[in-house]
Amino acid sequence: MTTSAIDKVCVILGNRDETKLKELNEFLSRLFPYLNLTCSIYVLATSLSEGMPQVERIQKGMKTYLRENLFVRYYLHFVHPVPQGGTGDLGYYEEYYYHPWRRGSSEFDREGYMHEEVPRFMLIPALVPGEEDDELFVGGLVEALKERFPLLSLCLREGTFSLVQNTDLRGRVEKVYYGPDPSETTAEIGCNLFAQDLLETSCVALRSGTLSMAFPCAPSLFITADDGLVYPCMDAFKRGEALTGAYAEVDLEKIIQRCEAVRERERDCRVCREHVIRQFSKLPLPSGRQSEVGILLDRLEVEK
Amino acid sequence: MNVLLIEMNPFAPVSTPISLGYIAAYLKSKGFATEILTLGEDSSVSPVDLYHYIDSFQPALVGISAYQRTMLCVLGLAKFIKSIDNNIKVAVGGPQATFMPSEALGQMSHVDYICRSSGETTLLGIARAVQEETPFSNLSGVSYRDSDGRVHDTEPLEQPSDLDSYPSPYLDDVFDYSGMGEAIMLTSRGCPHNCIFCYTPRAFNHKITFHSVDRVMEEIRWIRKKGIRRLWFADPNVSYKWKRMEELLDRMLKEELKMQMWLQTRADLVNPEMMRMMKRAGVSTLAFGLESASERVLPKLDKHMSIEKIAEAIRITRNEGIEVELFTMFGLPHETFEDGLKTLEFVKKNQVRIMGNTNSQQMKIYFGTHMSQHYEDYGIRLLNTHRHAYMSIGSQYETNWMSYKEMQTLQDLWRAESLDRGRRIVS
Repeated sequence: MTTSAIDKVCVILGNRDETKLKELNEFLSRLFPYLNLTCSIYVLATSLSEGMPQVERIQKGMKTYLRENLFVRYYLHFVHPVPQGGTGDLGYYEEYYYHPWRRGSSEFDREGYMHEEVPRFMLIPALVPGEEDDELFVGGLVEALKERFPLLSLCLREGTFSLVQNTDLRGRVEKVYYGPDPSETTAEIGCNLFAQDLLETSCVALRSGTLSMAFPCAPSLFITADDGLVYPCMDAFKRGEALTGAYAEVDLEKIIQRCEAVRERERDCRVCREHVIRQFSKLPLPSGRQSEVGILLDRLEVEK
Repeated sequence: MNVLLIEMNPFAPVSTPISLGYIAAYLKSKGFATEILTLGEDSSVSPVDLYHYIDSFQPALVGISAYQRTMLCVLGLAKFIKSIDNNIKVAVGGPQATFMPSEALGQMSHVDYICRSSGETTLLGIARAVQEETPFSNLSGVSYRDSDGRVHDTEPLEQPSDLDSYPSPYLDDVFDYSGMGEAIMLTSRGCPHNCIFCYTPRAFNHKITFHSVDRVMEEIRWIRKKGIRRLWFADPNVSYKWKRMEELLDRMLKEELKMQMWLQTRADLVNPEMMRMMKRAGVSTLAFGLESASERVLPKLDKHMSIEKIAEAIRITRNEGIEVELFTMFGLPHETFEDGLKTLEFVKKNQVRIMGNTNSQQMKIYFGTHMSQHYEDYGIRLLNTHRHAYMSIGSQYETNWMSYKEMQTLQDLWRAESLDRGRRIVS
C-alpha cells in the first residue's frame, strides 16, 4: 500500500484569537484523515490558562473524528508551563482546568472499558517546569495529575534537570523530555520534543541494525497558529521554511504531497540528525541514554 | 473476484498473519484474487491511504480477523469499508468470532457474516455465494443477517483431517518477505485436552490435525531461501507426536537447515533426549503453560498436570541451554491471593526470567470455553453486566476467592518483577 501518513503533529499555539483558532480547527479537521491511524498531536501553549480553551477546541474536533472512525487512536499532548502557585493552589487548577479537560474525553474511557482496551483518546499533560518553580509544588501537581491521567510527561531543560535528579519525579511520569538551555519559547520546546523522538528512533534503529543517518524521520508537521503557517518537518520549522498557502489549500492531498516532496528532495536529513545527536551529547542525560548517544556519535564519524 | 483479508492490532507490531495466509492461499487456489492487509502499532497508514487502497483493489468480500481486544477496530473497519462501497460484503472470523453469539450481528450493523468453522472452507463458501450474486444462499459454517435483517445460523463445516490439503501460504508466496524477521509456522491445529480456560479444544472438536513432515520441511527450505532464519511455531502442543517432531528435527539437522526456533508445548511432553535434539536443531526458547503453581488450584483447571512435572520440564530444558518461558494466569477459579503469590514465587524460585510471555496476566474468559457459558459454576462474579453481545466476559470479573482489587495488586507485583515492564507477546 502506498502511504503518506503523518505520524506526529506539533501545534504551536499563540494568543487566543477566535478567528485564528477557527481557521486552525478547520485545517486540523481536514488534516485528520491524513494522519496515521495512531497519531500523536502535541499542542504547545505559553500558559495553562491561555492554552486550555484552545486545547479543548482542538480536542472537540478530534473527538468528532474519532467517533466516526473507530479504528483511529489519538494521543493529545498538552505541553504547558507549570502554573504559578503554591501547594494550596493545586485544588484550584485541578477543579477549573485539569478535571474538566479530562472529563471531555470520558466517553472514550467508557468505550475503552466496554471493549476491554486502552481508551482510543489519551490526554497527556506535558508539564514544563521553570527554574523558579517550587519542587514541592511541581511534585504535588504531578501527584494530583497522576490520579486523573494515566500518562504524564515532563519537559525539562538543563536548568531544571535537577528536578528529576533530586526527587523521585522520574518514576512518577511516563516520559521525560530533555532539552538545552534556554528552551523557553514554545517553538524551542516543540523542537526539543521532536528532537528527542528522533534521537530515540535512532537508538532503536541502532539496536536493530537498521540505522541510516541520512534516512528521513517519521513524517510530521509543525503548525503555528498565530500566522497559520505549516512546516513539513522540524528542520524546516527551525529554518523558517514554511509551505506557502497551506492553510488556505482546500485539497489537503496536495499539501501532503508537497510535504513529502520537500522531505524527500529538499531536506538534508543527515545534517538534521547529526545536529540532534550532537545537541544531546552535550546534555547531562541519564547514563543509559548517554552511552547510546556516544555510540551514535561514533557512528556519525564512521559514516562521514 | 477480489477478496481482501485484514488483521489489525494497534497494540502489537505487525507479525506474519499465518491464519489469514492459509485462507489467502486457499482462496487463490480456487481462483479468487486475494490480498492480505496487516496493520499494527508500527504501521504508518492513514484513513486516506486505506481508502485509496480499498477503492483501487475493489474487493467484493472483506474478511476481518476478530479478537476480544480488537473488536473496536473490527467494527470501525467494517463501517469504513461499507462507507466506501456498501455492496462490499464483510465477514468476521477468528477466535472471537467462532463462538460469538448470533445476536451480536444485531449490534454489528456493518458486518454481514460471522465465520464459525474453518476459515478456509467457510470463507470460500461465502466468496462463491458473493460471486454468484446470491450472497446468502447455500452457506455453511456461518451466521448471517439476510436482506430483511433476520439472523440465520447454518450447519458447521467439518475441518479436513489432512492439513496438507490446504495450500501453503509460504510455498504459494502469499506473504511479503521484505520486512519479515521471523516466520510463524502452524504445523498442527487443535488440542485434545480440556483446560477450562481455553477455547481451542472446542473449536477443533478436541481433535488435533497435522501437516506432514514433508510439507513442513518444504516450507522451511523455502523460508530459508527467502533469508529468514527465525521460526515461531504457533502449534499449541508442538511435540504432541514426538516421533513426528523427532523426524522433523532430524531432517533439519541432516539438511543443515539450522534455524532459531521458538516452540510451545506441554510440560509432560518433553524429555532430556528431546531437549538435546531441539537444542542441536536451533530451538532457543520453549514455552510451557504453568497457569498456577498452587497445588490446590492447578488440578481444578482440568489441565491434568502436576507442578513437579513442570519444575522437572524447566530443569531438563534449561540443562540443555534452552530458554524457558512460562504462561501463567491469576484470577483462576478457587485461587486466593496467596495462591496467586505462590505462582510468582514459583517462577522466581525456578529462575525463569519474568519478561515477554512469562509476564503474567489475569485470566480472560473467552467465548467457547466451558467457563464462559457456566461462569457461575466456577465462582465467577461479573463486574460488567452490560456487555455488548460481541464481547465475552474477558477480564471484567472477580471470583469468590479473589477480588478485582487483589487481581490488580497481583498484576502490579508481577510488573514490579518484570524485566520489560510487563509487556506480553502472546495474549
